[in-house]
Amino acid sequence: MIARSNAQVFESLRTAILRTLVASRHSIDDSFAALAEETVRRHFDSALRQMQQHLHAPSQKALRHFVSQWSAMLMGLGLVPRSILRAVVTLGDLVVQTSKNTLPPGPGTNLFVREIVRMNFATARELVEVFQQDFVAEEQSHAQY
Amino acid sequence: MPNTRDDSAPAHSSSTFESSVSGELNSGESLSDSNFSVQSAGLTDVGLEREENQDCISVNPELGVYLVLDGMGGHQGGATASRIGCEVAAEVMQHGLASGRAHGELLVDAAKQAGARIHVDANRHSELHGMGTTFVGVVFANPQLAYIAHVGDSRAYLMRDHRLSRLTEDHTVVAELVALGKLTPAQAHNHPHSSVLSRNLGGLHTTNVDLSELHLKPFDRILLCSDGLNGYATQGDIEKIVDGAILPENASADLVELAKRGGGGDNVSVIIIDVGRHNQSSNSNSDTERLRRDGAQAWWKRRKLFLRVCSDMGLAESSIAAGLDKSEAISLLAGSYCEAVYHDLNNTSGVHVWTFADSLVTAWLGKSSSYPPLRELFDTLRAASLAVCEDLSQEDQDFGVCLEIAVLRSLVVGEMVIGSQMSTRIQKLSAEIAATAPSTELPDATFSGNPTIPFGDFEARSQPLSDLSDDVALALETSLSETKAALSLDHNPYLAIVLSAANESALDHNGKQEMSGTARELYGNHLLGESELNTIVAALDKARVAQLSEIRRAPTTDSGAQRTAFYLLSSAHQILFHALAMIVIEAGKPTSDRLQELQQETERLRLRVSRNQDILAHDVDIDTVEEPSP
Amino acid sequence: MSLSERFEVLRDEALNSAEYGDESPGREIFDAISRRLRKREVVDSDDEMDIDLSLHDALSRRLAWGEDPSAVLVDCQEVSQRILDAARRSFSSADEAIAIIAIVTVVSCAASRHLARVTVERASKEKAALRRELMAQRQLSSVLEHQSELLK
Repeated sequence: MIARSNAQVFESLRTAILRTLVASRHSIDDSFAALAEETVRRHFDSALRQMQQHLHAPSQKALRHFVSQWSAMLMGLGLVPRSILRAVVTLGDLVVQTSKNTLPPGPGTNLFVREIVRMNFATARELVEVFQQDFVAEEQSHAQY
Repeated sequence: MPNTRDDSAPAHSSSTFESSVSGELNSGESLSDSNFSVQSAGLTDVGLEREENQDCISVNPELGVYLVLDGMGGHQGGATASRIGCEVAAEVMQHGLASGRAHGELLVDAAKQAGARIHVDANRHSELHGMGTTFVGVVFANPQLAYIAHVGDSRAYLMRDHRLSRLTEDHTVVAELVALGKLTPAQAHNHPHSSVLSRNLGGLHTTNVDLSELHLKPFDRILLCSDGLNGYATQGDIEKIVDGAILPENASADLVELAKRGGGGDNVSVIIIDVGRHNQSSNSNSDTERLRRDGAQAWWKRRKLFLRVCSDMGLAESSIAAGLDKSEAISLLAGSYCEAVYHDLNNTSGVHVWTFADSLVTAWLGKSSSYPPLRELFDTLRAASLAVCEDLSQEDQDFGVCLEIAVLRSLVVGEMVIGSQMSTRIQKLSAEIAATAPSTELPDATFSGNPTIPFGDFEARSQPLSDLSDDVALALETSLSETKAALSLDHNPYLAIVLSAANESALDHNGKQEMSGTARELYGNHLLGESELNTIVAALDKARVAQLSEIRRAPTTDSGAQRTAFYLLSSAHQILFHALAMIVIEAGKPTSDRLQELQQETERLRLRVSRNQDILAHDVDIDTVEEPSP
Repeated sequence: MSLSERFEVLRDEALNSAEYGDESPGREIFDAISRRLRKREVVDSDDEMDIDLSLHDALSRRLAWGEDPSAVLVDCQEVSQRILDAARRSFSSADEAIAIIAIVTVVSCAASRHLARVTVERASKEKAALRRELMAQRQLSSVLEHQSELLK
């Protein structure tokens, strides 16, 4: 039997993860409880698809672009940076949890989970960089006055 | 080897209840499940800002009854309400369970009886009038079934499968408006009065109590808390602690500390109830157990490697370590982080790394220092952490992978801390810009072009007095000069304005004096700000109290004249205060309108981005890309 | 009859109960005065600056239900004025009339103070929200620019 790639394994989990994410959106952060279910679903779905793409063909540039776009969209919905970062981390945690609960225990699953956590760390780090840029932009805006 | 974590009770004045009970909950129920046990712990703390703890908790593992109440109302009313509520509810539960009443119905009845008693006491003692309390309670009917009743905004949460979900909906006016369809959830989230309660125990003689059933599974953990916890800690942080702490008493102590770290502005109370967790070690994930048992040791064994990598990467030269010699710098930064990871591995939590990162990042960014050195430091810690994992992988590849997963999660915690601080900095800066930005960008809050504030018929008093007698005029003039002499007007220019305006208005007894003009003079060109308002309000209060006291104190032979002067002056002060409040209210309106406009514009931009995103996704559908099997 | 009991007699007139029934606008002002009078009879003193949380709560509740703050303020003004007039007419003893007028003034000013403070608090939240919106718009605009390039 041919071993499945990480992206294929992820694809098999994606729907279940999305369902859990939407159902437990209140737990991520109070700001998410304020959003409509469909809005939350759409944004998490795009994030999960990006994760899958990253597992398939890792690209720091693509990740950075996605993170800035995702963050802009959520800020446009009224979320503060802290809530957006929390969502990213929760998303990673949930994928790890679902993987551990769903996949057979063993080295293969551990390797898959490690890739997820690596990606989650990279995403969180990129997001912090985006916040830093926002802060610099705000400082410049402040300096104008 | 570092010291193991100190799990002793925190050194603050708190009431602690800890319990551990197996089997027996209620003699009326069968508890034949041999695996069943309930462990619980509760803690209530005054917090950092309040002088009095108005929360009350009750932990009764023998009966399986747990209560958290958060009192409200001044003059000891809040503390009295929650105490009475707690005592009455606990007593009703005890008698009711002994007589075999149904659990859910009994819990609701206990809350209602508590509310009725508080209401009666509030009406009986005028100093307690208006007191009330929230209520959240749990009663176990059997090992698999619990009932939860609540009123107000004290909450119940369930931790299951590492996810924390809320079991209760707050009873706030805003939540009810959402339920009625008068507000959207998004509007509710930003609603300025989101914390106003729509229900409490004691406000009315009878109160609606919400009841829900909870079907339990082994390893479930229930959290009851007052809003002093969720108001000062995010749900993510609460989840980390509730999930990670091994014992309920650790969880409750850590949660109280968490609320204090978040500001501790309110009393905080928590109860943790574990169902069947005593067997957890034998059932839990073997990798997690192995990490806890061996991973922490393996990590600590490689401490020197960790420090060496940090040193080789130039950590001691970082500007964060300025002023320290090399060994101090390595020990303080790298050594502390290494120890924090060790403790977190040992406890399966992220609290220690969080605390390390939080104090470091807060101290560094708090000095308005630059971001790059912080980034470099955390990147160095990451490189050293991964070197340790790589070294372990040489011995045991799979275990090395497991350790890397745990270590990466610690690094994610570090990023969370930096990101949270950045978020705070951005919000703070935005608020500063909002406060100082010119009116070209922010709404005009100075009224120069606004019409006169409407006062309805209030300016003209409903019952004009006849011409003032000389006695009344004299009483007013005397009170003015006496008050001016008694107050040091030089220190507060507002006082003189208020005193003279009130006096003139009182003398011009038909209310022709335009008090709105004085209010505008007081308000000046201030942008809306709390401190400016407080200064003006303080002057209004001080002038009024002093001037009215003078009238009352002045020796008089004509009590009618004294009464009239007092009436006229009181009325003038009221008009002035109302005029100022009206100006403040009117000033706030353009900001609300501008915000609405901006929100609509953001929504339009968001839709355009979404539309483009869809078009781009249609061009290259990432899911359809096949990849070769390894 | 105590002063507070005699004051209660003015309730219908001051609140125009004939027209509004039990839910008269400004009822919270009358209740607060009544509470203060009862308390004064128990502790035999009246601290001007004593905060009445029940009054704050009642006013906040009206705002939370969506009432315009200026309308709430006008209700408070009108009821205070009616109570002042009624008290001046109904209490023949100068001491009693002055006691009532003093308490009406304290309560009326407390209501104005609370409404002004709530408005300022709300305005500062809204100003922060304004900045968040502007920041979100800046980010969305840069994403739009990037997308436009990709779509070319």
